Amino acid sequence: MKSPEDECGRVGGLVAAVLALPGMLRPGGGEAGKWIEGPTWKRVVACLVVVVMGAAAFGYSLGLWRAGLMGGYVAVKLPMLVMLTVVTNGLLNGLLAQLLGSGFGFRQTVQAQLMSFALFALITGALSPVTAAMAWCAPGPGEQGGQQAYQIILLTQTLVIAYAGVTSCRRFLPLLERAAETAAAGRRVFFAWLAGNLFVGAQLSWNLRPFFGQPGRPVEFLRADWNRSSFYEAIWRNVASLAGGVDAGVWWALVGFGGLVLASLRNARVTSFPLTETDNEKP
Amino acid sequence: MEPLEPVPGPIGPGSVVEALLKKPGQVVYELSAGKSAGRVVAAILVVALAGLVAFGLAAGSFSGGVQWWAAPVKITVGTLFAALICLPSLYIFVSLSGANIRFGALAGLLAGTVALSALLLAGLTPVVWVFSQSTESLGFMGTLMVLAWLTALLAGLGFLRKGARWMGLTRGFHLHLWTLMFLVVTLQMSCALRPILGTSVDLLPKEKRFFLGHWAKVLGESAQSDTEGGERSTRGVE
Repeated sequence: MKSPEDECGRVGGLVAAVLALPGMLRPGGGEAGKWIEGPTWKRVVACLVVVVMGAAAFGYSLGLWRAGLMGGYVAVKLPMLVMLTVVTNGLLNGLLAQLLGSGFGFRQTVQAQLMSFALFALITGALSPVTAAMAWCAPGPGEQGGQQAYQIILLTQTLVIAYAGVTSCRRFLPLLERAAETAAAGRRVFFAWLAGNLFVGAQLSWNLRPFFGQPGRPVEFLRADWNRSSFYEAIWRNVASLAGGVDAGVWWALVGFGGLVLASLRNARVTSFPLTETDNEKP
Repeated sequence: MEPLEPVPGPIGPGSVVEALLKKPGQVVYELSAGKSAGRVVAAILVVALAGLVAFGLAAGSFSGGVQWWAAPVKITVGTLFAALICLPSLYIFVSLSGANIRFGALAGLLAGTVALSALLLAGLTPVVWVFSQSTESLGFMGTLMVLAWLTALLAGLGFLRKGARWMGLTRGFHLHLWTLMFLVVTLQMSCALRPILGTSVDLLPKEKRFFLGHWAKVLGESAQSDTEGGERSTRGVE
């Protein structure tokens, strides 16, 4: 069956597909369900266009405070981060979607993944004129009040990312629940994808640092030691240095306690939400 | 809620002012479904420019000289620029709130919001002018201008909320968030284009600041000069 975009020619159809994406932010989700169920090349390319444009615009505003060149670097790196996350997790996410009973094939998985990132890019991209103006108005590095400006901009950008992330997830979850064979399968797939993308995305963003650009460090596309550590090692080192004097026995006790909590949570979940026929019904 | 209907009679600044104040539904209708959206937007822009320039003249009268033309230009350009950079996020936030609005119609709604705020600012112009001629305290005048600005803008934003509700807005959270952001952006514009009230050798600032830091500095300096200035600074009280 032909999609509505196919009736408008190649370029017209692509434009129509790009223009349909903001409608998916509405509570009803617009045509999102149809897009996930019937992915087409135009829909995939439309998502790619929105991701690249939105992420590049927001990326530019992220790096702009440090320097114009830094803004340019981040405008390239942020879309790259999204694409690398999609590519790195593509196979795993496609497998998980099938394993968890959503009924999505690989093409549908790619379409859904790109749509979720496109919604995020739409929100951050739309806010980028404001964040860029903020960076432009703020005292620069080395100027009086520059350190305070750095902290304010860092906080604001983090809030923007958190808002866009939470909002796009809140919009995307019901879409996935409706498009999947069962609502429960849609939920499972959503959280599996989210966990995988967060895990890999954190590492890739660590490799591609800097994004904000610290005032005292040089402007560069990648840090010289970009491939010499992982995000999780850095976190571990920070935690270990904070708790430098703590005995190894305490760490083992903490690990044991964490395991107990996880086990009891899992038990509680199995008891409270048995996977019955009714659980698998669509709402 | 009042019914959506076309603006009666010929469309011009006069009829648009009347509709904005008494029957905003008529403006919303023309912007979303009417055949004269272009003329309505043109009339809205004329009203917005006139109101902002009038308010700017009142601000400029405080210091006189270059500020007679610089203050109206800065207030007008700053407001329109703030609206322009906030328009893409308004489109996304209104969509998140459930409204189904075309980008063009939303731009018209935002222009209407600015126009209604400008109208109220024009109404406050004589009040601001009286104070600008009565006091030399920069801190007092600055506070008065900001209060006038916030009052007018919040009233104008009521039009945007109504319009969005007419076009299907169901959840207000995202629009409230955007409103807060727009207010902050306009206030930051006043700092980025300073001086608007006082005087300076340069037309635009060389030192960049956030508006809260700038205000704290200006209010502190103004309070100090009021204490030291004696007769000059108490002119407003006399």
